[in-house]
Amino acid sequence: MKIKEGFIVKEIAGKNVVVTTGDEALNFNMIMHLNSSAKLLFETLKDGSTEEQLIQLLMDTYDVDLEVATRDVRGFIQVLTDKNIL
Amino acid sequence: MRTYKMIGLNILIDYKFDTFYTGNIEAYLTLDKPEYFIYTHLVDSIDMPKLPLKNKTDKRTFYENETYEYVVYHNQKEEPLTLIQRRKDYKEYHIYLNQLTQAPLDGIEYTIHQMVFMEIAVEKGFTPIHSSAFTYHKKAYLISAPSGVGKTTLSKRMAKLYGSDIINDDKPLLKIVNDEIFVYSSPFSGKEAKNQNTIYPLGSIIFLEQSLRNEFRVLSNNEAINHLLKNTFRPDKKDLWENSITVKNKLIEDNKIVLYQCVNDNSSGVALKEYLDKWENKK
Repeated sequence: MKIKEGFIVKEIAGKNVVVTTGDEALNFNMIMHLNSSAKLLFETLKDGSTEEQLIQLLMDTYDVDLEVATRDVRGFIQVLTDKNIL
Repeated sequence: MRTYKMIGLNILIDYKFDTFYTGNIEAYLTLDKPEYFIYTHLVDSIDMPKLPLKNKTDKRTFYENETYEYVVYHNQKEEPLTLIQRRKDYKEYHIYLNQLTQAPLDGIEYTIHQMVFMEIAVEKGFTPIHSSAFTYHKKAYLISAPSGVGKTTLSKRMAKLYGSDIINDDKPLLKIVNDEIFVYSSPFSGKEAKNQNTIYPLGSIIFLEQSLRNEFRVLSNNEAINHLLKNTFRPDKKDLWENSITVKNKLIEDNKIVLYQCVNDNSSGVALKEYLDKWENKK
């Protein structure tokens, strides 16, 4: 899985926001905020990753158990898929 | 063809229709040599660029070569209506309008010129914001909201009740100069065609919502970001985002943003004046 070309995360007033560049700027008209764990997942997905790797990354970084990490990763992937970002 | 000094840039604008320009653009005339060129060509058919298709949306197709980028606007039958040819350094635009298949040409030309001007402005570090800008105590205050909420009505109220000048009624531009945010006008000032060739320090941005009573509220950072992103021009290039974000950060850090939920009568102007007086005294 990989984030599509043209989606980047920018920090505005201490908040992480997904913005678009290039061709995606023509089509994407939503505003998406990311908390710190979502930003970590997003940045990791920029280079491509698997669900298992993302779950492990959350467990390693935030000291959460498998159940919570799996729920969070799947939820985030669903959001990205719904918004056509992935 | 004449040259106009807008936001400090000398721009030659070759317009074919003066409907929206007369009485509006003369204040910007200059004898300086142009650095930017915007030409309009009225044609009977659009010659499509003989280049590979780069991208496509519902109404537009995109092409490019080493020097120029091309955008073709189509109707629902995919017939080309308008072609915009832009040099990649933003310094020269050719706008080809098919005069047989679209109307009103004066409005279309003005809208495209506005779009092109905003593109140049963003490239030069300005942030256009969809708002009506009025003066009060030598500062510019921007009333921002989606169309139809009452930006112009409230600006007009401030002019009528307190003698404010409306310096731009559609898209004033923001720029940070010496760590202060300034508001620049331009001849592109919306349907009310009110603008002055002026620069004022920014007082604040007032995001407007209709309500049953007049109330001001400080926005959370997330809310402020949402309002700013919705109402400012979103760049399509990575490097242009940096400047746009610097302006947004400064607006939020300097507490230059407030939400105003108000009724649609003169009391909204009175309450706004009281708020601005208190706000100025606090500073």
